Order: sequence, then structure tokens, then C-alpha cells
Amino acid sequence: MSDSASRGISRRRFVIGAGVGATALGLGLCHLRRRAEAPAPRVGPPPEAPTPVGVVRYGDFTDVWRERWTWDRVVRGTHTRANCIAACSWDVFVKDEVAWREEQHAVYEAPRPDVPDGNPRGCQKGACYTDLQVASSRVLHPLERVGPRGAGKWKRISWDRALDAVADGLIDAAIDQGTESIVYDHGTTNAGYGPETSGEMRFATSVGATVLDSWSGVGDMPMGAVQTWGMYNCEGTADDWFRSDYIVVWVGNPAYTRIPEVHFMHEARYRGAKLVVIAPDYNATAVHADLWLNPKAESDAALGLAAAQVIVAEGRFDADYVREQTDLPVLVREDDGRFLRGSDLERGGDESRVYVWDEVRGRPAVAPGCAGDGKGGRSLALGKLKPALAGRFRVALAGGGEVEVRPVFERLREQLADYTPERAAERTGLAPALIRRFARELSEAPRAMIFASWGACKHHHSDLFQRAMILLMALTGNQGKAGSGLRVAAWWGLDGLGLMAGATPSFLDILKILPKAIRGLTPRDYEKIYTEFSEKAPNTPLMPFLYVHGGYREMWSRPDLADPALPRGVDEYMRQSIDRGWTRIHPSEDREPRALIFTGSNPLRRWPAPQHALRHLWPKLDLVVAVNFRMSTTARHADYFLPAAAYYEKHGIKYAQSYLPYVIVSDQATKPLGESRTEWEIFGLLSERVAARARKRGVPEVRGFQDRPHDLTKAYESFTSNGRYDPHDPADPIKMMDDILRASPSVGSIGAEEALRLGAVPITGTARPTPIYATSSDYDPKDTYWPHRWFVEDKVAWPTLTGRQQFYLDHPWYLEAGESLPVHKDPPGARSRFPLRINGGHTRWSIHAIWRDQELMLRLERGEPVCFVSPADCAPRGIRDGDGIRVYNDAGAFEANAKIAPGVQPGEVIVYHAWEPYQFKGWKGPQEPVEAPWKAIHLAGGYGQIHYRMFYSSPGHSPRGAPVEMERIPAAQRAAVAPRLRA
Amino acid sequence: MSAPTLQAISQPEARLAVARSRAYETFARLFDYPDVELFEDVRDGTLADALRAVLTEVDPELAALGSWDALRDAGSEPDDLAVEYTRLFDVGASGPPCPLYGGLYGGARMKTMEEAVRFYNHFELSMAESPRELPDHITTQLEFLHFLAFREAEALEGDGDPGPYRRAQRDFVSRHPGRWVPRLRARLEENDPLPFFRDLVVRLGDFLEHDRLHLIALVGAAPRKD
Repeated sequence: MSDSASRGISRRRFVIGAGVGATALGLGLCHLRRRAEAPAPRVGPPPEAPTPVGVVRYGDFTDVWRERWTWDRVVRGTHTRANCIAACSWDVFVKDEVAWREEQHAVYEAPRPDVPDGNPRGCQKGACYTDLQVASSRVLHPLERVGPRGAGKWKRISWDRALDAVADGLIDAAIDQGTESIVYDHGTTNAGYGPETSGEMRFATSVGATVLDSWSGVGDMPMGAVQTWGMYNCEGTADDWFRSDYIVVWVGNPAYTRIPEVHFMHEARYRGAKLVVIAPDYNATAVHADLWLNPKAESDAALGLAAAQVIVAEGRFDADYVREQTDLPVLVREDDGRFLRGSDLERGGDESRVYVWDEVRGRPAVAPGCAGDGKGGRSLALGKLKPALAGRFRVALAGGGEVEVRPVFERLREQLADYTPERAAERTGLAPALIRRFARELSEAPRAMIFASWGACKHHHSDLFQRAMILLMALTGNQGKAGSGLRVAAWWGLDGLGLMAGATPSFLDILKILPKAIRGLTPRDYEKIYTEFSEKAPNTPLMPFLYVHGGYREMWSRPDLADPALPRGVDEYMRQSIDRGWTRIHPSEDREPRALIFTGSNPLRRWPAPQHALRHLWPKLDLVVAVNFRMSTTARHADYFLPAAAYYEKHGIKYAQSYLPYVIVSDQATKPLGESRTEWEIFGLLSERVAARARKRGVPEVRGFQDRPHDLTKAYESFTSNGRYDPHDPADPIKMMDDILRASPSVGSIGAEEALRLGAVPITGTARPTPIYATSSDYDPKDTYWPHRWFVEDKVAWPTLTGRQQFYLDHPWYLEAGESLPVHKDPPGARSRFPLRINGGHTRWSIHAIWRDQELMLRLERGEPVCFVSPADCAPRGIRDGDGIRVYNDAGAFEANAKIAPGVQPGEVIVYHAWEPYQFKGWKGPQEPVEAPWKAIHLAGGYGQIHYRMFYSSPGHSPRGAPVEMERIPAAQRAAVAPRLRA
Repeated sequence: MSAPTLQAISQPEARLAVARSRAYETFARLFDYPDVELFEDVRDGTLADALRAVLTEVDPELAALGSWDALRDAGSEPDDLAVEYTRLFDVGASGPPCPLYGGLYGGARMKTMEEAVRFYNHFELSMAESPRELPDHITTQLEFLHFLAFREAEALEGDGDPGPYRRAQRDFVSRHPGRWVPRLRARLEENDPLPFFRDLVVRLGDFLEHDRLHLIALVGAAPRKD
């Protein structure tokens, strides 16, 4: 029997047992109460005395509608854990313990008089969350699976029983295979700055769980930025877009995905900016463009390099910027293609020291700011150096003899000869004149920027796209200026975020960084700290985890899914990467995962060809636990479902993307519905129960991280920071928020109560960088904000081997792959016998799978899964608009409706993001045929900026471009498609 | 709260209102989540007998309709009712097949809930803070009708005016459970339910329709205003 239902159920016993014909009758209310009995409201007048029986007036139902509707309270809310890129503050209106509606809280001020403000913020999804949180997909009670996994048979159980069962399952897993066999997947759906994410992080630490690193796992890691910059945060405030003169939207559709911000792009056109959209399809952003370039899908690097060729060939580049800010003057040996290094010039010389050719002195000079410059690699300022960008030089080697060296720029110029607009036209399908026009306009614009979304990370060779884009921005001197540069995304840091994990640095750790800290930590120093921090916990990047433990090895090691330029297969790269410690797998290869807990994430919707996970990973798992507010596809395959509170039912701090110079917080509008609880409470109680059950069962220390002893009886102490927090206390989340915010001077160190009153807390200063939050610019409240000013204005060295934006990678794997410089490569699927390619993007009508099945949103589109396809592909296949189609390849298939759209480029099948597999026939969603082969060389490490740590540099999910064929489903079979929605 | 009670009801009209109030409460509680005790009450016939008795008090013809066997069939295992309840009413892909929330059977959900709350507030009721259920849930709505019928009986016994309570019941039944319970019944038929739940909903639907007609007979039909 569930806890909160006990009142009704005991009343049921009374009612059933009261006997026939009893005349004594009590008034039995469980879900209703008399208003006079209510506790005094937080806001508003006290309740009135009850009206005597028989005095009430009622004519007909219109009387109830005539009465004035007053709110019990209005609180500031947001959608803390929707993993929505935007952060919007809402007024949430509450009456009778129901949150009824929300309204945009328009408080955002423009930093300068010459830019528009950010109002209004909030899209159609946020405006109907009140509806979603009471939708029928909401789950309100702890559930235990009754039938086979996925059969949909459940029963409610009490929280007590659920916590016991889950705790025992976790303990069993830890005893059997060590704590690393407990796998925790937060996806990215639940990332936040507040108590909810904190609860999950603390829980994972308390039980020693393996944490899946899903940054790359969801295909959001801009590896080209990592390779070039040693970082990937590259965004500012959205109002900075308004200052651009030439806005290039390249692999992105902000009209769909940046609804609260895209107006700055449109408004910039009123001050003369040109909006260029580069996309194969005529999408919702392209309709606003001054110039639309529609290259063939996945030919983006070729287009970028062709534009670079024009800029270099026509001398349109900013030579001073290139000399100082890029590695293009750094010398490369002609014999082996590696940088000239300190070890070449002197015995025992520094391997991380690289050189430029100083035109003034006519000899090699250490590149200032490189990792081995002898000064800590802190500054890239050239001083009196004038590095050569051209020339061929001979240098004496320490071991005797000479070697010929050339600047990277020379090699680049040579390579670009393969990318003349005429040659690129074959790959891109764009006219040479159009490419030239684009290159010239870009180079002539005072401030040019490229907006690239996370979609720019989801192709096999996305890194090459990004390297080409950054090359354009660097050649034209745009990276690091207002209204300029490549923009993907960035976050505001908060110094107090360290409190979320509950981990404090050891005395030894502090001692180690003290000397550097006294001089001021640079991005390079921070990167070292993050890496060491990451190595102290069982973090595992998702794709390698699935390769080793998920049953994906057989698929991903097929030669047809690999880059044909690679001399070795994926297996060999993986073996080397693991053996060299570049990739760490938890649990280790000789152990098996035994328990999986996921909070809000939806692996069987998101992972590549998820049928493999169900077939191979699921049978290894003795325990699968879903924590969510809704029943997702993956939750259907769980053993236990723990119901989480909805967004308006808990306190939270929304993760803060830099688009808006505010941190948005959320008050608790109502208590959680049914028996649902906040994640802070759920994971706190689970930690407590693990400790209690371990004590009761007399469990000795188990094998923890790297087989070190782990004491599960201390799990609760670990979670609560030795009693500082108490997840039983409803005010605990506010206490956690208070701790985080007060430790964060960049938001004025205001307390939680004040923050909850404001809803939108202004950024007032610059926070310390954190593993994912680093924009490398100081914040000025009186200006727009843009990234990378530390490097360009303050001459701080970039955190790369060369200390510069690095376009040349002399890592042996990149050399053998032919990717030492950015190039265009066809994806592996180019050789497939299946002629079409699945592409897509995030949709306007959902945030991932959330809202995807909400009726209000479905009414705004076709109401069921749909593929946008070209008339040119449909005609020969006999497909008409609205027909059911089967999309398939050798890996899998799914069925959906065809939407014939002339704006779709022939050869493409566009499926917008995150339909739930259960919305398709047989629960086979659009990921079924998506094998998503990732790049083996992204397993590389041991090189400057190329190494793995949590939330940085690992092979990414690359679902775009999956080769498929499609066919019309005969009308007789059509009725079986999406039967629930059609009904 | 100290529950008000009615003792020694003298008037036939009040006795009928009490019986109807009792029927509403019984139905409300039968839609709470099944437990082992309910399993036993179903299996040994206690529940069927109790509900039949309650309906007999309202109108013997209501109780005489059809067989009561299904309400004595709790399945073979103690969990069967609970598992079936969860499958039908609690969870499923995009929601359960037969949700117990009236707002999910057509119309705008929030408006449906708002009207329910307006009714509750008009009669000085609010949603309880615990258990946290929604205004359009079947148990909440049946509780409200239980309350109104109880007040009707109180008014009759205390020389008050029963009219407002009767008119409110008439309107609430027809605009809320009387509108959507037939749709719930149709959904159930499509989802091969345990006979217990099918017959429980059938009995509820019959009772609601009977009560709607009874109330119209007492206070007339509602004016059409929407």
C-alpha cells in the first residue's frame, strides 16, 4: 500500500465494512478539504469562516464562473531540468495547490543603449509546462515491474519497499563486481546548477558508481574546437550577435532551437547586418536569410576550406592576427611532418616546446605561450618576434645533421590548392562564384560570426567542419572580437558549484596548485586541474562504454563503418587507447555492469541502434532503475520507477548558458503531485538506505574505484557532507541553493531567498572557470559579452600544445589519418549501397523527448512521427504526401509518415529530434537504423590539448547521415502505424 | 478534521440523499489503489455485497441490474487487481490507456480542472495538500458529489434549502463524471480489462446516469448557457 493513499484506503475499509443500511454517516473527504481548515496561506487573506448549511447560493454552473478567480500565490519558476538551452524566468500562478499557468517574467535589461533587450523570453513549450506536468504520461507513485522487462506490467509499491529493493540491488552489484558495476547515466537532460543535480552527483560518489560521460555521448562535443583551442566554450550573450555585421548560421536552425534569442539575429539586419544561412535544406532559419547556401549534406568542410582558399589566395587574411593568435607560423619538419620541438634542437629538450622562424633574427625562436616555452606557457605575446608565415628553412638538429622546416601556413596554403572554388563545387554542389562571394563578403565584414549549433557535432567528421569554420574566423581575425567568431555555446560559471559534488580538494591538491595560483591560474592550469580531478573518479565516456560493455563492438568494428583513410581498424585504436591509459573504461573490461540508474535521460531513445543495448547490455543488468517524472521508452524497460517531482514542484537553479546574463532560479510552486519526490530527496534517501542495508547485512568494504576499498555504510555521511544536509528536511534544497549562491561572487553572493524572489539573478562579475564553464572573457555588466578576450586582448596563451589556436595536429594518429590539417572527408556512409541519408535537428515543438507526446505541441505539427523528404526522391518510389513509409537499412527500420517538402535536398530524409520509440509501430524509433560510427582517432590522448577527461574530448555520438532506403507502405498495412496517436 | 455525522434521519428525502452520498463515497473509495484487503473483500463478496446494499438504498432497480459476479472476481493472485489497475489507469506509453482524469477525455484540460476547482471553492472546499491528487481525478470528483449530497441531506434535516446542492450536483454530474465516465467505459472495452474494473465502471456509469435523471426530476434541467 502506498503511503499517501493510506487515508483513502483505510476509509475504504470503513465504507465497505460499515454495514448495510447504516444510518449514521460521516463526511469522508480525502482529496478535498474544507477551506476553513486550511493552514493560513503564505500570501493573501486568512480563510473565511464556513458558511452555515443551507445558506449557500447556487443557481447553475455559471455562478461558479462568475466568481472572481484569485491566485493563492505567484512564484518565480523555470524548467530547471528540461535540458533546454534557454533559461527563462516565468511567473507561475498557483491556486488550490495546482500550478495553473505561467507567464513570461520580462525583467531582462539591455547592457548598452545601442542593443535591444532580451525581452520577452520563453517559448510555447515553457508556456504550457503547467499542462505537461499534469499530463497522463506523468507517473506519481513508485512502481515495481511485475512482468518481463518492457511488457508494461507494473504495480505501485511504497517508497520504503522501493528504497529497500533498490538499495539491496545496488549492494548486490557492488559485492558481485565492485561499485563500478553500478552505472549512473544522467544523460544531459537533468543537468542543472542546483540541488537536484547535486543529489545525483553526491549519490554516485557515495556508492562509488561509474558515471557515464554523456557530453560526447549525446553528440554535443565540438571536437574540432577541442583540437584547435583546447576548449570548446565559445559563446557570449545573445545580444552580442546584434553587433555583428555578417552572421553566418552554419549547421544550425536557431529559429527552431534558439527561440528566445534568435530575434537578435533578425534585429541585427535592421542595422545593416547580413544573415547568411548554410544548410542543405531550406529550413525555418533560411527563410530569413539574405543569402542561402545549400551545399550537399556533410560537405561543410569542403565549403569552409574553399572559402579559406579564396581568402588566402587573394591576400584577404589578417596577417598580424594569424602570426600572434594561431599556430600557422609554427615550424613543421619536412621529413616526418611533426613540429620542430625542443628535443630536436637540444638533447633532453622539451617535447612540448615548439618554434617559429623569427624574421628579425633569422633563426628559430621558441613560440611564446607553447606548453614548453620555459615560462609556464602563460603568454602568447610575441614581443619583438616577427614569425615568418612563409619560407623554407634549415635547422641543425641536436643529434647531428639538419632538417628542413616550414611554417604551418606554407603547408596550409599548399593544401588549400585542392580546395579552389572550382574543385569544391564538385563536392559541395555550390557554384564557384557563390563560394567566392561568400568568402569575400566574410573577409570584408568588420565583424563576422559563425553560429554553429550542437548539430555541428553530430556528424562523423564534425571536427573537420569545425576546424574549417575556426580557420575562417582566425584568418579574418574575427575570433575574440565583439559580434564575431565561431559561436557554439558556453555557460556562466558559479564559484559555488563545487559544493554540488560535496568534494573538497585535499591539502595536497591545494599545495600542488599554490605556486601557480599565486601567479594567477591560466586556462592551461585549469585544464590540468580538471584532468586530475576527473581521473579520481570512475568517469567513462559513453561510446567506449557501449563498445566494451554494450554489445556494440561487433557493429562498430565493421570496416564499412570506418574512415577508409585509417590504416587500422577501430579495434586496434581502442586497444591502444585503453592500454595507454588514454581511454578509461569503468567497470574494467574483465568486469560487467550490474546495475543501471538513469535520471530523466532516455538511453533507449538516444543511443545508436538501441536494439543492441537491449539485446546485449540489458541482460547483464540485474537492476535497472528509472528516476523521472514521466514514463519514457527506457523507463518502460526498467525494474523500478521512482517518481520525480516536476519542475514547478521543486527548487532549482537552471544551468546558465551565456546567452542571457542572468542565472534563472525556480521556486517550489506546489508540493510534488502524488507520491513523487524531488531528486535531492530521492537520492538522499537512497544513500541513507544503502548505508542502512549495508550495515544490517553486515557488508564489509567492497571493491570500489580502481579496486580500492569502498565502505557503503558511509554512503549517507558522504551524501550529506557528514550531516550538513538532511534530505528529510523540505527546506534542505533551499539550504543547498543558499550555499551555492552565497559562494558565488559573480552573482553578488545573494542568498537563496532573495534569488527566489528575483527569479532572474543578474550576473555581475566573472566566475572561476569550471570543467565545462569557461568563456575566457571578463564580464562587464555594461557591455555585451563575447568569448576569448583573455587570449586576444590580454595575450593569455590558449590551452593547446602550441599556446595558440592550433590548426596543425602532429599527433601520430592524426598524421596517419591525413588530418594533421583540416581537410574534407566523405563520411563512411558515402560508400553505402543505401542511397538516402537521415539528417535532422532539434525540433521547435519539444526539448528532446519532453513535450514530444504532449497533445498541445502535437497539434502544432502533424501530430505523429513524420519524415520530411524531397519530391525528387518520392516520385520514383511512388510516395505521396501523407503516405506511410518504411525507412530501413541492414541495421534496422522504422515507419513514419512522409511529408513531401520541396525545401528538402534530394537524398535527405529529415527526421526532427526525439520522437519516443513508443510513438512508432513496434516501438521502433528512428534510431533503429542509425549505427552512428564514431571517429577512432578521437580515442587519442597523450598530446597537449588532445586527451580525455570528464566532459572533454572523447568519441561522440554521430547519428547524422545514416544511410537508408525508404519505401511506401501499402495502404492496407498503414493503419498499424502509430495507432495511439491516430486514435 | 472532526467529521460531521447525520444521526437518526427522519425524512425520506434526506434518507435518499444520504444513500446517494454514501454511494458516491463508496465509488470514490473503490477507485483508490487496490490492496490485499480489497483483494480479500472482493473475493469473499464483501465488496459486492456492500456496493449492492448501497445502491439498493438508492434504488433497488440499480442493484438489480446485471450480474454481480465480476465484482467478486479479484483475479487469481493478490496482486492481480493492483497490476491491472496500474496497467489500465496509472502508466503507459504516452499515459495509461484509461486514465482516471476527466480532463483527459476531451476539452481543454486546465479549463476542465479549473471548473472543478471553481465548484469546490464555491462550496468552500479546496484540494487537500496530502494526498496530492488533481481536481479532475475520479476520486476527487466523486468525493465532491458525496459532499454535496451530504450537505443536501443536512439541509433537509435542518430545514435548510437543499436546492443549491441539488442543482450543483445536477450540473457537476453532467459536466464532469457524467460526461467522461461513459468514455472511460468505452476505453476500457478496448483494453481487455479484468471484469472487476469493467463492471465497476459500468456500475458507476449507471449510477451517475440514474442520479442525473433523479436530480433533473427534482430541480429541472440545467439551462443551456455554454
